[in-house]
Amino acid sequence: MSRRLGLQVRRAVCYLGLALLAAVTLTPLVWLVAASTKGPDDLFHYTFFAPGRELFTIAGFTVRLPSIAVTNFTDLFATQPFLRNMMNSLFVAGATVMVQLFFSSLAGFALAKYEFKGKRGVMLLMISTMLIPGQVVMAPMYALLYKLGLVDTHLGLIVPGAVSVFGIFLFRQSILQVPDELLNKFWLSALKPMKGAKRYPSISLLMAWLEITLTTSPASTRGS
Amino acid sequence: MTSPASGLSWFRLQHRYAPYLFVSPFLVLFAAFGLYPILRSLILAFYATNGPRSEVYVGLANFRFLLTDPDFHTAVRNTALYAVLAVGTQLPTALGLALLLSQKWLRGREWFRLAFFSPHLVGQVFVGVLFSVLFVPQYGLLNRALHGVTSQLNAAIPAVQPVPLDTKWLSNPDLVMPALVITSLWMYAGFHMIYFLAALQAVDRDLYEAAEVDGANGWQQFLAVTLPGIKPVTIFILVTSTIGSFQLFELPYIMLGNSAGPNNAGLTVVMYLYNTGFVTGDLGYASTVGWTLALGVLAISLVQMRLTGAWKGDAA
Repeated sequence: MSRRLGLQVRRAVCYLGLALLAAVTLTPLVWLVAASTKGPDDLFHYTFFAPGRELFTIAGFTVRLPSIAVTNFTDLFATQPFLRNMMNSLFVAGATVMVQLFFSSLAGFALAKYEFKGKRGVMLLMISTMLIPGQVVMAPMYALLYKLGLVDTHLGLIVPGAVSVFGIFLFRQSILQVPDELLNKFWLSALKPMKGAKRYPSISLLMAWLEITLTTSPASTRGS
Repeated sequence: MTSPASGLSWFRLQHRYAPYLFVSPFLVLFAAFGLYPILRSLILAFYATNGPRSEVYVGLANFRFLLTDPDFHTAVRNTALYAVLAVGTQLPTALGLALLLSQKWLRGREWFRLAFFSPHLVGQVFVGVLFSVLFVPQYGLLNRALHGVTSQLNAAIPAVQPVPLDTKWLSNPDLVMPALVITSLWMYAGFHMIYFLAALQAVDRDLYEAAEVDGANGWQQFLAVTLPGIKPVTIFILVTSTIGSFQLFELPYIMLGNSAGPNNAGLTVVMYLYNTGFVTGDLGYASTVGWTLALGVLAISLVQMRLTGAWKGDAA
């Protein structure tokens, strides 16, 4: 009986700890959302949302609706070509994901289920490039894109992002899980080995999206 | 494909050449946009450049200068310290969260998982902007929260000193590194947690039952069953997060600006690379810094894999 109680207490402590950690983790994001609804004067004046219309009062404690100012959002679209920027991101991210999925699944499949000459070399080459920080290749990459006439184009963003070492590794790992007997059975349809890889598109889309929204994209220098 | 024999030989033929066909589109693009810029930067490491137009071959002079460059040494010290602190806080936190979330009786697991992973959805630049506001003295959320909590504690336990409201996280040289570590912990703990969760799910349930029959308690089960079970994934996270920590750039660049904080307290190697290459305009020396970093990180990764015994199995 007391052991049961101890278990209950332990679980309650677990829940409490997790809830506390989750609250701490989410607080900066909530603060961010609140900040987006405040003008510059109110940003630090109120910790989170600015108080708005009174709802009701209980025992001397007044509950208010948050005052939401949408001007930040309307200004964003009115003063910046933000819609256009988002469309650029969406297009480049979408295209990158499709090309990446195609190339990465092909290469990942070959590296998982075939033995061929040079396989080790290809793998080693891929891993070693992960060690090079992106800033090292920034200048040569720009020079190359300039020579190819791809600066300030969507293609200049999509093509270098079309091959993803990370993506190939993810595909290889999930395709490795597929038993060879199953593979031989479905060799002709070749659809089964994809089953384990269905999680990949969302990660790839997310990475491409972040990549593009967070770097100053050459395409956006052209303005609207 | 008309007769079985020709069908078989066709199958053999395509089976032999298919992998090359599958890998070649990747290899072609990779050669152009992966390998070429990398080799080009390797060549540049032996040149002194001034902007994109002037390149003078200087042999090993860049590398010799690197050995005596005090700013580079500061950057290496900072980056190494950051890597140790960041990996040392992120991995245990991530594993702890994953262990809590993998309890069978836990309800609302998806919601907790989403909450802990959500900081990773916004990206390093975004996080840098957000935290540079949160770290503001006087009004910043972090100082207000810390001050509030520690003041309350001070009332109960006088030994606890309240954190002053004007703690200058980003302009006090001693606090710059803790600020970066806190920020990266917030951002990456939930990300690594996802890998640990996947690894924990793959641990054989029967092993736990066998351990329980043998009378092992929770801690012994963790040591004997859980840890060996998640070892490959742990090595993977250890190596990749170390590489990522050594390549830290966006967070300090956004939070501290080009100047890298007081006394270069937040100067990382990649930030120094960026400053020499794109602010000073010496792409040659920047490439030297980058390649030195890459080789150093490679050495560290190899040591990590050797020490953890990753060679013995397929750790990847």
